[in-house]
Amino acid sequence: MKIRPVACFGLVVAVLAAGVPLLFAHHGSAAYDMTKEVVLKQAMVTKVLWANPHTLLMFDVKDDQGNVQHWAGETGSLNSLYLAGWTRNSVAPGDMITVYIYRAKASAKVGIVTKVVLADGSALYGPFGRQQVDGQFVAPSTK
Amino acid sequence: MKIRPVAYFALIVGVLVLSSVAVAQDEQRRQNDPSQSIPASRFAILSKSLGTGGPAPKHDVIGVWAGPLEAERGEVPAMTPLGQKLFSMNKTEKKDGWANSNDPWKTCDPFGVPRIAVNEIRGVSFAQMPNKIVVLHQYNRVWREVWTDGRALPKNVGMKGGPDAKWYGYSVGHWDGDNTLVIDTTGSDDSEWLDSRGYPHSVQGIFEERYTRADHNHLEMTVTVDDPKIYTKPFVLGTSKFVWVPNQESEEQICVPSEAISYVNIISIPVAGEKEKKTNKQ
Repeated sequence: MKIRPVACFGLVVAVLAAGVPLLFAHHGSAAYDMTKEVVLKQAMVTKVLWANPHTLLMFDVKDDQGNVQHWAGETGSLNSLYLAGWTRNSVAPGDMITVYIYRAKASAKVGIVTKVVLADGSALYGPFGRQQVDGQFVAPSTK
Repeated sequence: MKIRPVAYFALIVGVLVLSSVAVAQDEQRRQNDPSQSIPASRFAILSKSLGTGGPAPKHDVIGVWAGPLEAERGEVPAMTPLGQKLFSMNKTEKKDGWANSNDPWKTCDPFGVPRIAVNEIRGVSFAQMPNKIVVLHQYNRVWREVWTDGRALPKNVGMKGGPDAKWYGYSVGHWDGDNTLVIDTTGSDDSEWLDSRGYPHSVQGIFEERYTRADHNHLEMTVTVDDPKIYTKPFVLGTSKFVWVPNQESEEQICVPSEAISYVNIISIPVAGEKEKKTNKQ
């Protein structure tokens, strides 16, 4: 039997595709722009809602003109946050932090917090918005 | 130049080897870097570290078990005209977005049976009491009585002359063989959904949960729906595995209505681009 190159290529693609793990989000994240991580520096925390279904961080950031913008970001469920190293007191009102966030496609200043850098330089990561692969929340590919 | 099939085969093998090495390296990187990988649940952690723990004890699932976030969902069969009508009224998060969904979960309504067995299942425990096993669901600290004294399920629940429906219905249990606990439930309030996909159920539906202890540390669950008012045939709603929790501690996982409303107002509505539709003043 003669195997054509295109058939071999097709076989390779099929085998590789079968090995790709099933990816799915914890909650729907289609409303967010998951391809672009926005970095908000000098964010002052105004409120922390340590709550289900997802803990919310509310913070103020000044724009280029010095105007204060009010933001809200969701992180993850309490159980997920504990596993990611957070506690209720990890972030508190008055803290100055850097927030990495996937912003909502609608123009509102809300989004999914992927990472928070605290004043001491340590980082905390948000589980929400990640893909679940083999029992792990994995950062989505931006490619 | 003519390339022989054997060369193509070698190429395929080469590509597969290289891709598997890359996948292994990527997995290692994810496991070592919190920016790349966070455990989804205690189940994920324990699943990788626990052995069998020895053989399963007979007629015994007592203790605290950890599960994944959700059960694996089964395929739902065709619905009856009534089922189709009810299903069409349910607005799910996936279809309509959380802000516009009418999922009872949105306001932390009780999951009822069988949803409590397939939705948010990071922890479940079993305890023995006289004539009954008590199932303790970690989510919202729900407990259910499963009578094992041989009584039958009530008939005509929710109908004239029958008992009223309840959020968690009426449950009876028995052992099938040495290691499978079978729980049958009926009379579960029909204002809840089967799961977050929005599938309805009737009060007269019978839901079977089978918990098979494969060995000391592993439990397997299958949930079956038999609800001829709504579905044309019985079907498996969900399956899941659970692992033994060595320290026997449960996590706290509560759906708090005021927190859920805040979440909708602060996040879901702005995300949906409907800022003006606030359901609760802040």
